[in-house]
Amino acid sequence: MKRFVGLQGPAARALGWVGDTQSGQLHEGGEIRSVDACPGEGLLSLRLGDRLFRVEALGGHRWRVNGREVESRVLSELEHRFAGFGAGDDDDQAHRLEVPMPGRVVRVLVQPGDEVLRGQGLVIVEAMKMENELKAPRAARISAVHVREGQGVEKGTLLLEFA
Amino acid sequence: MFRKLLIANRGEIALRVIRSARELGIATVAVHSEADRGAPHVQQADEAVCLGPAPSRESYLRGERILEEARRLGVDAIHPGYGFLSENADFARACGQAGIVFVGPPAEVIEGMGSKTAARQAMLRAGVPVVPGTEAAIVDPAEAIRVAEGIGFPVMLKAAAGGGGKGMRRVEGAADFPAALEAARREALGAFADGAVYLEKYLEEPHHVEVQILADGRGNVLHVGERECSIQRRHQKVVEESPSPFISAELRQALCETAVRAARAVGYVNAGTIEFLVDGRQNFYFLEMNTRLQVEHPVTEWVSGLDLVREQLRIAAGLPLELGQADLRLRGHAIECRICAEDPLAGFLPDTGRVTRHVPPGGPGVRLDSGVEKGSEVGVHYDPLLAKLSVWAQDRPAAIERMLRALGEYRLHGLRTNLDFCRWVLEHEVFRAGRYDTGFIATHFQPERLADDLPPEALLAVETAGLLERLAGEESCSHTRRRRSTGLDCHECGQRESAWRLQHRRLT
Repeated sequence: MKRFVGLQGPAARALGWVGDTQSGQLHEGGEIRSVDACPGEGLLSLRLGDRLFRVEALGGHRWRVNGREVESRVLSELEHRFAGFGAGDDDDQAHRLEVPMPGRVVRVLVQPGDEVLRGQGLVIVEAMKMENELKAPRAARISAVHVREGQGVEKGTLLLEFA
Repeated sequence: MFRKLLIANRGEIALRVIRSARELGIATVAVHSEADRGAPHVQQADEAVCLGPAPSRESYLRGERILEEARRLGVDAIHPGYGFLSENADFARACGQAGIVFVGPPAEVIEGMGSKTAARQAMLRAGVPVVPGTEAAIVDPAEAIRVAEGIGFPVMLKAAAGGGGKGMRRVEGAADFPAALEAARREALGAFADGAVYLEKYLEEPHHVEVQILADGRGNVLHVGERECSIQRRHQKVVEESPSPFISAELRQALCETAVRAARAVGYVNAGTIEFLVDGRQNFYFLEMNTRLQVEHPVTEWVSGLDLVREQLRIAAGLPLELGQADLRLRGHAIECRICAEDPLAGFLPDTGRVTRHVPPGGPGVRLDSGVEKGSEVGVHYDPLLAKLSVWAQDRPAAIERMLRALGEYRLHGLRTNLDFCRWVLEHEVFRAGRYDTGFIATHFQPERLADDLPPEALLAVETAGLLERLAGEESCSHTRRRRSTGLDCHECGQRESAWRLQHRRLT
């Protein structure tokens, strides 16, 4: 049996698998279910016991089932034991402001050295003809500004940093 | 009837117009930007012309260039769709001067209704109630603040040349006014090449109800019922339905009759829409008149059985309406969802990318007007509207169930969409009760609640799918053994091969 761990949000559960990539037995919580999977266009038609689920793979750990999108990832048991998830991530992000979508910088509302409050507007980015104001995630002092007005930006471009 | 029609638009609406033209035996000319060279609307036309680079101002908004090509190709009519040049009076006038029919009302009517301030004055003269506000565009901010204080904050700043929610800002008080005015002017200038902005009293959570008009220029003006368009985010509609579940039969009659009176008063010709705001006590106010085909016209087509584009073309060709008001029977209930490239979980920010899969829903009573297909690139230059999914059923509850069924069938992958958000709207008890207003999303939508009621078996199915994808990935990647500690992707080759692709290869 191959051992995996399914992660959905904070929840983790052990999954065991006996079979190939299309059919086999799933061991979960003391229960064994037979599984049969048929691939479709962007979709896995999955029989779990007698019930059919149409699971869409949206990429990047995103899935859709029953008309609902969920984030879920599956690791091998070993990976799960060694991986340190998320440590430091939140801290680091709160020191940087990145562009969530590609577009063009219309206004930079702050300068290095400015003290800003949580929710204060920092940069206005135009994307698809709409102006979007990016706001401070917390109170902070601006330490660096990396873009200028009129500049085109890609998704993930670092706009500014704060201390 | 016309021989050759140029469609001065892109995406789903260009395709929509091509379909009706083809049924009428009219040849079609598509225009496109360099980015849209292979777009579906181009593939479906009989002839196609490239207008220039991707930005709208260098392609779809180049009226002179479009007219030049129209003359060169012997086009006898131009359909502007919605957006772009559809409410540009100068373009309509230039078409006339070039001897080409503009499929829409006369240029003077576009001008009159296109200036929201002039439209308000015209409606006042016709005895149609309007929302209190400035009679003209704002020149002096200080003066405007005094007007706002007079009618009471909050107020709404709106682009005088506007539409589609662009150049609109709600202002809570005098302190926010200058910044909001600057932003609204900038947006208005960018979207409509006109920075004029006026203000109106902000009605607390009104209903947005609009009436479809058809006028043939021979004195026949009829209404094709109303559409309820109160499900909005960023002042843009997402879900529309007809008939409205909110208004009474008396109000329906009053709205439709007022709309016909307003259309007559301004000498309207062709298809148009009068938008009203309706408050909780069923008082109504003129909001604006859209002198073009609306995005949400399919719901009206469903309940009336009319092809509104066909009617537009017939009227533009000088033919009389075939129907009188008494012949028009509105049947059943229709709902439309605008499927957009956006992330409802991140404040509805637009998303970009390539459509990797497109499997449309089908079955009885389902219609999809899509501007994209598998492989389409969705970029930053145009509106994030990807497709319009609409359904019809004999009554409202059945239409809701049908829409939910269709949303569940629809597979549109590669970028973030609002498919699941639309599902959430249609399942919401306030929507089902038909008691929603324009505050619905702001009041009820909590992003984290989109997927909270999945049964445990469905979640287990997702994990099983993830597990199988992992297994297939391990088999396909020779570097698998070395990537133990860092998660899912292989160090050496960067990506796993997905189980889906792998299994496809085995099967085919």
